[in-house]
Amino acid sequence: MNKILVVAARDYKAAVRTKSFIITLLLMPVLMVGSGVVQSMMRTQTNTKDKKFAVVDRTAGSKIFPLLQRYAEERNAKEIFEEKDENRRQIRARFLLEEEKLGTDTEDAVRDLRLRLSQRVRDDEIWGFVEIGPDVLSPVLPGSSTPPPQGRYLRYQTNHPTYEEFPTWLQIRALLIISSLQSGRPVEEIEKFQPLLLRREGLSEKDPKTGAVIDPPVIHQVARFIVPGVLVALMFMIVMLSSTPGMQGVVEEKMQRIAEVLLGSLPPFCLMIGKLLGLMGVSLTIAAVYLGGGLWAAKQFNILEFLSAPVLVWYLIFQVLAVFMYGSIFLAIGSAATDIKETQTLVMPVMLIACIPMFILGTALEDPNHPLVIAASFFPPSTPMLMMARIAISPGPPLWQSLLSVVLVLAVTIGCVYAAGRIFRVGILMQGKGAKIGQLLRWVFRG
Amino acid sequence: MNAVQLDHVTKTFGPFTAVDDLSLQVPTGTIYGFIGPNGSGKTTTLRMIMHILHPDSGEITVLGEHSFRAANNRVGYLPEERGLYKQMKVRDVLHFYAALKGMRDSKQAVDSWLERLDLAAWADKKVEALSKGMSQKVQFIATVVAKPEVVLLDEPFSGLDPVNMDVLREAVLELRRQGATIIFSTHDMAVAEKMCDFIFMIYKGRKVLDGTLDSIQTGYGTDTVRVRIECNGHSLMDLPGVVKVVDFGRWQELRLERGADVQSLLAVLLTRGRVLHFELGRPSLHDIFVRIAGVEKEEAPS
Repeated sequence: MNKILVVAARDYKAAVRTKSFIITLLLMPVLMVGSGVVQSMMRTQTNTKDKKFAVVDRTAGSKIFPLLQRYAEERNAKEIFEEKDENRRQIRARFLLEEEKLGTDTEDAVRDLRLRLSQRVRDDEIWGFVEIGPDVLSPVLPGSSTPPPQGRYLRYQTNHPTYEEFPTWLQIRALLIISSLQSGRPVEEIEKFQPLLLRREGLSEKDPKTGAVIDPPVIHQVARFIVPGVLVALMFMIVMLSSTPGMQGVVEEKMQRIAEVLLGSLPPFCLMIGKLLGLMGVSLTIAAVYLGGGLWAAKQFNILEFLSAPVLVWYLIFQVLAVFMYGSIFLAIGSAATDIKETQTLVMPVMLIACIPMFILGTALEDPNHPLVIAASFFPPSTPMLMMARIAISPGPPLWQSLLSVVLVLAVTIGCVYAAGRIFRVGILMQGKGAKIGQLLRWVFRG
Repeated sequence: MNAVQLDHVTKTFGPFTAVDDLSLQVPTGTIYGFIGPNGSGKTTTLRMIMHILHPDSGEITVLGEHSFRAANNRVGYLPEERGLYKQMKVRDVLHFYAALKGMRDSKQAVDSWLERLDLAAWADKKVEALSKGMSQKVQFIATVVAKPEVVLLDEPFSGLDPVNMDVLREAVLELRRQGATIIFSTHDMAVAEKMCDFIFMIYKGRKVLDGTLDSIQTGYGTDTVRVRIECNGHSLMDLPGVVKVVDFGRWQELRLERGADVQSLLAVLLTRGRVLHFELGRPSLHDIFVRIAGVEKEEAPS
């Protein structure tokens, strides 16, 4: 046991004392926080250059354009500034609307006009153009079998499809104007009907001491997604950050014949276990740094409830299992390869399997009890990450599912360590050419 | 008592038999030299003694123990291709290897060895900064720092300059004086002749020589004449009773057939030129090695 710890301590020190490890460890949060700060800064540093839009209002009497222009002028006067005092700073572009008249309202004339306006967009004279169909004011009765008239449309053409601010603004304002004109009520009256915001909350509880009903805490929607997502991404990153250098270390030991000296002091399986413990130390160090930082950040943003003690304990259990499971496979691959290049070929299938949770993560966050997510969370290579995601989303899976998944992963991890040990035993002394996947399987079953 | 004992050990790699029914007894406190051509099974034998490889059949006993764990800390191993972590400091790597051999406090031993092999100034330098000779000395310290009772050295002197070779040879002899059993493999026959109490030769996985240098040479008889002669480049192959001539330039080594008349040979030599040196003796280890593993062996009828 002592020798296993000697190997673990050396590998741990060799990994964490390198400049690249410290730089990666420190740089990662700096990059993450930095990108947030930059994005936040960029939000206030948008291009404030005026944006011109042509509007073709085909409604009878062009009733919509004047109202739309009024909204644009109001926006330009009030809504494009950061501060609303005298020292206000413009942070958004002004929308300048110009009406484009259609000579004769025929389909050919419309098409010619679209072409001409498109050319103006290409020439950077205008940002885009809006076409209001002639029948937008025709109401569509609910349950009516008559299809809506062809002229009931609102059309926007541009070569800046990613600029969302104008179409979003246009959609809301046009809806208000159309509702106003259809109902015959002034726009100001229609504006009073503000949409009601839905408050999403958890379940109410009864205080066991006082018997009073406790209202659930207000759930931050962003935190609901961010915390499980970040925990899964962190686990994936930690597994890769600790296992990959471990695998490269084994290759180095093989190439420089260090392995032979080590095997003169302890059996291959003990050597591999020592290395796995070293990886474990590295992974826990990274986790301690990031989780510590995460707890601090969670406290700052008042979302500490999402990083409760049980969630953190589950996280640590699954991370330890994931590092043992993937770490042992990576070490076995390192032992079977003769240089770093060879490891890339062998590690590819493992990486594909390891990425499965990342492919399903979106669905898991949306619906943690989706049958696919439940099934994948019991597929051992995906279990640590997906079960973690499910646990982190309140109320979490039933306890029996969490416990069963741990038992399952534990069994598979023991199997992986055993199989990796058999590969390691043969591979570590093999020189010349690296092994193929079929050969690795033969070593596992036949030794 | 034997420090190391191999009984009918065989090791195969697929269809290739690396070691074939090998038996060997290495007495405690001796220096045992392993010789043999490349690929003959020396390193495989050393690895089996270290339990890095396991024999397919036969039994290996080290310091009276059959199990790896029992004797492991009492055996030091220097592999042929040196294995040191390049990014580690010399002192750290030595403490690490000492700890792997179960040595709890290795500071004094490490410092003493570094001083002795003139490496104290390099103790806090990274291994990658060392020359090849220095790395070899560091690896040697790593092998012996935990005071092993059996030391296995695979090609310990290869690539060393004469000064470092003397330093290392002296260190090996000192270990023997302290009671350690040394087994080393070498391609340098002169070193084996001068240092080893026993010499063992393996060829194509089988033992072909085993014993003291004296007993081995005696087995081959007094059939070698070393000659230095000014003979204007004439060949000596046509001399009576000579079956082989090895020309070293300034020296020639003649091998005689069984029952050859040495006096007649000398008489003929005197007619060829001025004889500066004429010495009748037993074959050198080098010659014996070549006889077994060289072209002669390949050409010999089976």
